[in-house]
Amino acid sequence: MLFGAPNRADLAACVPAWPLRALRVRVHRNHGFEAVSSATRAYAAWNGLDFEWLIGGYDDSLSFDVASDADIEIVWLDTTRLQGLAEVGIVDWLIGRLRALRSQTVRPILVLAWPLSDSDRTRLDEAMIPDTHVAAVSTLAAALGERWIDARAAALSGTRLGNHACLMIARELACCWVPALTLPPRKAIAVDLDGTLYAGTLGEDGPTGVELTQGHRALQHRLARFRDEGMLLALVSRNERDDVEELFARRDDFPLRLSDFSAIEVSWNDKPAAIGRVASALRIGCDSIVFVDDNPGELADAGASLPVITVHAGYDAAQTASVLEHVAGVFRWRRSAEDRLRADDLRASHVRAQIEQAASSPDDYLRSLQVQLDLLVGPRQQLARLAELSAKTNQFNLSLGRMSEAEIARRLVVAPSNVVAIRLTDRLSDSGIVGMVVGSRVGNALHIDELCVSCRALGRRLEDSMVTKAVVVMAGQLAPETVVFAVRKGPRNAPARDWLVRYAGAPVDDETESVEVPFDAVCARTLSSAIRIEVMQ
Amino acid sequence: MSGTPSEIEAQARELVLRILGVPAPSQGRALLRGDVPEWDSLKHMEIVFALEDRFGIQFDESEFPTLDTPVAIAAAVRRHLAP
Repeated sequence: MLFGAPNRADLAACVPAWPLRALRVRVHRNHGFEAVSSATRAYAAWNGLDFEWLIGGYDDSLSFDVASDADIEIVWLDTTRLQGLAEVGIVDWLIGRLRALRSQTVRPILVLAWPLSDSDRTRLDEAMIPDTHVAAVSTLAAALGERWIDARAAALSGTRLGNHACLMIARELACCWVPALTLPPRKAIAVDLDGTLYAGTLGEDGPTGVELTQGHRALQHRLARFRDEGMLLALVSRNERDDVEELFARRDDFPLRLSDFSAIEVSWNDKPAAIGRVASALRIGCDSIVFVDDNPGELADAGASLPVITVHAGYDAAQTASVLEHVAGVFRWRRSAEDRLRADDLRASHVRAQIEQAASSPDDYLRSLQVQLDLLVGPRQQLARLAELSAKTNQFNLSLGRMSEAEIARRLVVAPSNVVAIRLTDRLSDSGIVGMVVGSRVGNALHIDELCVSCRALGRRLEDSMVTKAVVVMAGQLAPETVVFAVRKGPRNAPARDWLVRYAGAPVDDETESVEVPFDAVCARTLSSAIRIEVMQ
Repeated sequence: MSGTPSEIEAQARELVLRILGVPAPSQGRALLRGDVPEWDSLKHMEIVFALEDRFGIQFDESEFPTLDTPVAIAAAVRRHLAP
């Protein structure tokens, strides 16, 4: 109903019976938006969201009224109404207006402008306005063809866009564009085999008997693309392991290979337990996992016992791929280098575990890995990755500040040394940017407002060295008396809080909001000689 | 999608009430746009587009203001569905 041909009558019948998270969305616009906003309800509810719309009046000048609070700012433009700006150039004018909006709010900005050429969209992106994202509306227009515009529509809706154009925009807005700005991203897709990746039953039809329909081929291709983009894939199937290995060995026509899966759980045991083991193996929470299965009973079991998102693999596997693309947190505005490194890094972690077992001492272990930490001071080019780290990191995230890209950019403007990014490499893999420390100087104290380290870097005994060196770099020439670590208890950040107890030698209970450590004590900590550390200003 | 005149009227009525989010008028009373404060211009837009999707038709722009009761809607829908 939601992901077939757009149909406003069907949407009207969708009434959620589950709790929704409210999001206040402000719209700055120069043409009618209500035909879009009215159609978002069902799509947003499907993803557990409820949009509260703050829609301003028509304003071709984009003067921006941001007096009240909102979670996100949308700029909704029909650029044909701006032809008077042709001499200045619409894109240059829009960049100026977006910079003006950016200076008034740290909330994410989403630009929905049409018509807008790909080159103009690229220019807007290249303006590097923090946490500002330009949607590919033209792609939707091309998909809908001549029905994109409806000359009759303006009389009803105040926009030239037709009903189905508005429905398509509503779907992308509610399922992809807004969730990607406001919710943590999904990190893994766990898929069943029989009836999900192909038609048929492996145990009965055999490896050559199961059918790769056109839809299943499309689904497997889409999953392979997700993997290339950095999403981890996991296999969760009730089958014999030998049969599954034979299946992938013999079916050259499958776009997916067994090696594409970062975790494989093939057994006759219950699936929720298997998904739990997948989460442990991938070092992520179950709420970061999307579970796809053709059996509604399996989905219900998993959904009842775990915080996973479930997707039913229906008869039309191509539509399953479309549904997957619309699960909140699957669409991402940017894919970082770290995303693409994730699966390889995870594979390397298994080798690291073997090396650690064989090592004679912790330093011997680190030395054999040839660990290198690069501390990037004032890393403007890494804003998107740092915001992603802040949003995604749950275990080693001390204050759970969830700083936005715009907020980190603001801290950088105050002083570049307020932000330090940490890149990690060893001889087995390049883990990319895995840590972030954001601080601020208040009198004689250096406040560490945000400290997070990706779970990919945990377990290598690097946290002390990362933090100590970052704090010393931040302090610069003017040594503070104390370092104040902001801390807040979250559902999963016990590793970070336990680390602080050990590092500061002070208790941290559920109510603790900050912990002070004398700067001299930080400086006195010995950095491991087995780690190579480089500071890059 | 088609149906008898009364079926079309019932479907239109049900869809209008669902979009407006209001209960059906009491027994013997007609559902008229002028009597329902919730049936404003924005809800009218939603209703017209939803009717087009439900019945697979396109109203003429001149018809938009006339679609103000389930009876009028059903008559317009029948005209568009007529062979």
